[in-house]
Amino acid sequence: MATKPQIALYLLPAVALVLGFFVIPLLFIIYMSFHQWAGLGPATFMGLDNFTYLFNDNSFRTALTNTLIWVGVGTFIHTPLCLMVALVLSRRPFMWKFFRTIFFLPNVISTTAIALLWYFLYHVDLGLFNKVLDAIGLGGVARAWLADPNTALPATLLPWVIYIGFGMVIFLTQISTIPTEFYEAVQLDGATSWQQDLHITIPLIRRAIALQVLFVVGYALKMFEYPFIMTNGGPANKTINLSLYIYRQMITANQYGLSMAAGVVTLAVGTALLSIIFLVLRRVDS
Amino acid sequence: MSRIHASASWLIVVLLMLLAAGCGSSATPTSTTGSGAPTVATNPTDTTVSSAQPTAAATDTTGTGSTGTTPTTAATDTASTSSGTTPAATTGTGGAGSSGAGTTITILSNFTPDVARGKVLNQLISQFNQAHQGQVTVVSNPDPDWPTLQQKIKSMIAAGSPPDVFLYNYNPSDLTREQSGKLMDWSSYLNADPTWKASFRPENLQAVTMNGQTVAIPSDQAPVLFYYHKDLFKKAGIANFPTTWNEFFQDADKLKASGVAPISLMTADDAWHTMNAFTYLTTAAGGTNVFNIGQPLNSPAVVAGATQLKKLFGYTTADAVGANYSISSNNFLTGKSAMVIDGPWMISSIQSASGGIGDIAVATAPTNGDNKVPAGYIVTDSLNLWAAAKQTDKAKEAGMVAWMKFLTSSDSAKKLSIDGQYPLAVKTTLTPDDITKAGPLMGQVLQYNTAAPATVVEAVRNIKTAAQAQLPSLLEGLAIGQTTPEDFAKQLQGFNK
Repeated sequence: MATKPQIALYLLPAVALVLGFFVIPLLFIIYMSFHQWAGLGPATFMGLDNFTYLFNDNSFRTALTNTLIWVGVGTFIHTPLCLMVALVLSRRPFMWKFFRTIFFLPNVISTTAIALLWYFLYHVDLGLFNKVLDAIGLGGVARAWLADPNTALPATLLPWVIYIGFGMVIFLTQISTIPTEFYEAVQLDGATSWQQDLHITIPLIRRAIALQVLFVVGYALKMFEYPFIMTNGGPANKTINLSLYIYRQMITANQYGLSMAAGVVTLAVGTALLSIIFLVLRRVDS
Repeated sequence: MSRIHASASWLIVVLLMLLAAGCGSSATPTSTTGSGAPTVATNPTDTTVSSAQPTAAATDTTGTGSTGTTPTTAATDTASTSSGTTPAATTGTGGAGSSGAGTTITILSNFTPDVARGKVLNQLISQFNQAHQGQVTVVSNPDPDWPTLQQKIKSMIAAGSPPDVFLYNYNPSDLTREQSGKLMDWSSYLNADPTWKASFRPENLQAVTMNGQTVAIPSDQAPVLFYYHKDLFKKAGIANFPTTWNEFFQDADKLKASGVAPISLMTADDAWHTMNAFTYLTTAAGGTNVFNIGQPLNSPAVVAGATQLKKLFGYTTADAVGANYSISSNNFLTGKSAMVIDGPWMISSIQSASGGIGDIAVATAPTNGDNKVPAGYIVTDSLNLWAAAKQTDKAKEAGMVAWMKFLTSSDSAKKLSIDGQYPLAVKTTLTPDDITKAGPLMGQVLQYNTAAPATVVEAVRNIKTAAQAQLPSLLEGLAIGQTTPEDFAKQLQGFNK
């Protein structure tokens, strides 16, 4: 049994790292969010002006809305897709290992590379989509997918939605822990595959689903590569999200205080979303 | 078991302490060569130069031309012959030179070796380094992406360690770099060498003089002109480059009908090509002073410029919205578009792309034919400047001065203009032979530049960074019909406050 000083000693490196690289920078960000600072020279205290500006700024409101759309699409479209594929593969159909690998493969490729690949797939002149549409006689539908305000946001979301490998693996792992006796019992009662999934598999992997939603929310809040590389937030801010807004205010506009205020709002949004997920999970459990 | 755990814990603590101690000890040699606190006592090389020769360094830079025996003197001897043509004034033998170490100066610019100016810069560096062997070594660290380079420089200044020598664009609405207190003051060196000082336009030096300190040296102010494919014009039935905007749009219709996009535009980053067009269209409507500091950006001229720009978006490539400089330039170089409005660095790309200038010509902008602006006027890039990190190491400072005098000497400027397609903002006398040597396109650029009755700095270069950050979305809004020209002007003015 470790003594208290020993426990403290074990924790010391982790505590020091968290303090040094998370808590102190976080406090600095919160402090600077009340200041105007160009990155050079002294900072000026502004009170809540940065936050007032943010909520009056159309591009920030769009960024916030788009981020919530990413969260929504991740939770209600991407996660069910992961679940569906996991449920199918868990029955070990023909070549299931091959498909598991194929589905997971995009998760080990750099997101930057994938974003660039999709940029060219969507390209108005060189892109595969427009070429295929032309070839099958639907040339009229072809367009500049990433420059069209009606298609830009769905176009940046699509790669993320269809790369279901990570969630699929989480679900497959959890499904593999369910004792086969459960299924044998209901099969004797004549339960269909759908009923087995609905009444046994899904309830028993609910914690894995919650975990996946947690990952999805975190990923959506941090999402940067797809909108940055594919559209740079355009056209006319149609695809901007919070990460890109923070980046733009800091790197292009040199408004570090405003950028940090946007970071604080992102933190608040993330905390609120996580609280909701935990609340829902607790209710489901009870 | 707990004993094992305790031992392991202590081992970790000891390792961490050793690591910390290691970091502490490694910081000393690093700082001796950095631009931070003076650490001459711990570095034998620096001690020789910094502590023994500060007076010599200061004296030599006044241009006495003394042939001292220390490396510092040697480096600055070259500097004293600022208008001279060679960097090979090195006579120093001792000190740092004899140790073979010397000081290294790293230059951050967008002069990549794949373009003409980068090749010439490397030649100049090599010439300079040879003349200062063992004393000063100049190293180029280029980044081809100008906006990224500018951000990198700002970040480095913010972090308290500006690059040794760097190229940046002057923006009178954003003087944070000049006022950071981290940049070297060139005024004493300029005052000590009247010939060198006289090679720059006084207003350019004045622009970067803050509280008596001249914090940068003018580099260049590139003319922005219309480059066009003569063969595509001919194919569309256009004999000459249009002289009025009305003619321009009529010709654009002909080019479009011939199956080519009339002009390359872009909206990403600093929307360079588009903002060049916008500046020309707006100045044509309101005169050359519409973008002067203090002028409102929601003026009728800006609205008129935005209206024309909106129209121009109908004549560009399908990928213009969201395109960056590389895509937009490529569209022109591959003949997908017939025109692009760009600086003389485009010539180098044209030569690389087609193995010669092909059928490309250059022209000045159309006007509205109403004398609001004189025919042949030119929009220019911002004044680009060379600045350097403030130094405590006098040897390094002397090396920087020597390099800068060499780079901005008449001979280097001529070489950069002719071979590098990069005219410097220093007084350079070019003979007709030089212009011929520069090649037909560059020759034309130099002639237009010399003959220009008026110049205007491109709009994006003078506006505040907050407005610059919003430009892509504002332009895209205009292009896709989401924003009216009036709203565009109003929002631009709002962000520029």
